[in-house]
Amino acid sequence: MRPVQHLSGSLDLLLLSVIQRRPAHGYAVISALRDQSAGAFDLPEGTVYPALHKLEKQGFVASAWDTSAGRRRRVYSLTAHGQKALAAERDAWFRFNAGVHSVLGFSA
Amino acid sequence: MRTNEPEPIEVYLDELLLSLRVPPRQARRILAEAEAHLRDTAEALSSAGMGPLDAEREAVRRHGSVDEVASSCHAVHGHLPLQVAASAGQALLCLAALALVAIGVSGGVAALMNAAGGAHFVGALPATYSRSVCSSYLHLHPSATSCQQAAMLETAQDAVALRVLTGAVGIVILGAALAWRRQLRGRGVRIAGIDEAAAGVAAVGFGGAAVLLLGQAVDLAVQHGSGGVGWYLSGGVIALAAFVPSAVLAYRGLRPIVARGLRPSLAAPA
Repeated sequence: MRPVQHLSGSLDLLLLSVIQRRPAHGYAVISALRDQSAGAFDLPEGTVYPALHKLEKQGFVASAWDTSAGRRRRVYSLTAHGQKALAAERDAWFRFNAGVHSVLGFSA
Repeated sequence: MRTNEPEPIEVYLDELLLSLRVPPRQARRILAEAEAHLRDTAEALSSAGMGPLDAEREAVRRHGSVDEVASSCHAVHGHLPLQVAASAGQALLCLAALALVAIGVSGGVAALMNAAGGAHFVGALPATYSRSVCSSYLHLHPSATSCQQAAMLETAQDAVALRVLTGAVGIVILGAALAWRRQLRGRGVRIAGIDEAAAGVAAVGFGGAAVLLLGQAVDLAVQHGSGGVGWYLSGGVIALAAFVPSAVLAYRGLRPIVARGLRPSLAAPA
């Protein structure tokens, strides 16, 4: 099954996966990424925002300003297009992962 | 008690602002999100027991270097100097195309002058021709009784045909230039002042051409009578007609820019 649209790199997949759980602003997304990966994904936090902007340009996420918590933050949520792309890319990733596992299993 | 040491987050944001080469709306958003993120991080670190200044320094360190963040932003939002160059290039191409179209229209005026005043009015330029040029003219116009008459007929024809052909090329180029402009606008690239500057250049160009061509027409009429006056008059009239709207657009567009000072700015993306 072909992905709806190719997501460039694993970071996009991870970001969409985090946002899918619930809409969040950048700080919450980055914290969730770090916590859920047990520190495995620890990238320069400022570079995540351009990645979120790119996903928004591509139509996978939508965003809006929120001032409810005393500070002006941009909250990101998944669009229907983003849901489809995430599902397709997740399938592709699991197939790839299973393939690598399988090969490594034979090599061992 | 506060020290005089500059606040790391403020310094970082200042440097990020100076490094960003993106449209202003994107720049404001990037800075707002960066500041919120940095302050959230510093707050969390302070709550965990870190001193306020150390918390800010650590927040800045985790955020990544200004160069790193700015480069990532440029990759997504486009690089302003390139956008300015693209906008200027598209405006120049439009200008060149409009100049060619104006030449084409002057060919139409020359055709009318040929019909109304005869080929003498447009084609009888005071010139001498070599023997080889004479024989080629006479070959093209066998009904002509002399080299001068053949040259007049050829010149009167060229005033129409070559100019109209130039105008047709100009229309094609104008189509391409307008398509490029639509593409840039679709990507949110709109540089304030470029269109107005282009109108200014058009006004100067068309105005100068009008003065030159009409001056030549008057000079020719005074020196040699009506022969060949149409060659210059047809161009001068169109140049003058193009000058007027260009000058009006340039005046309306440039006056507010000059009034508020020469400061580069961007139009907000559509």
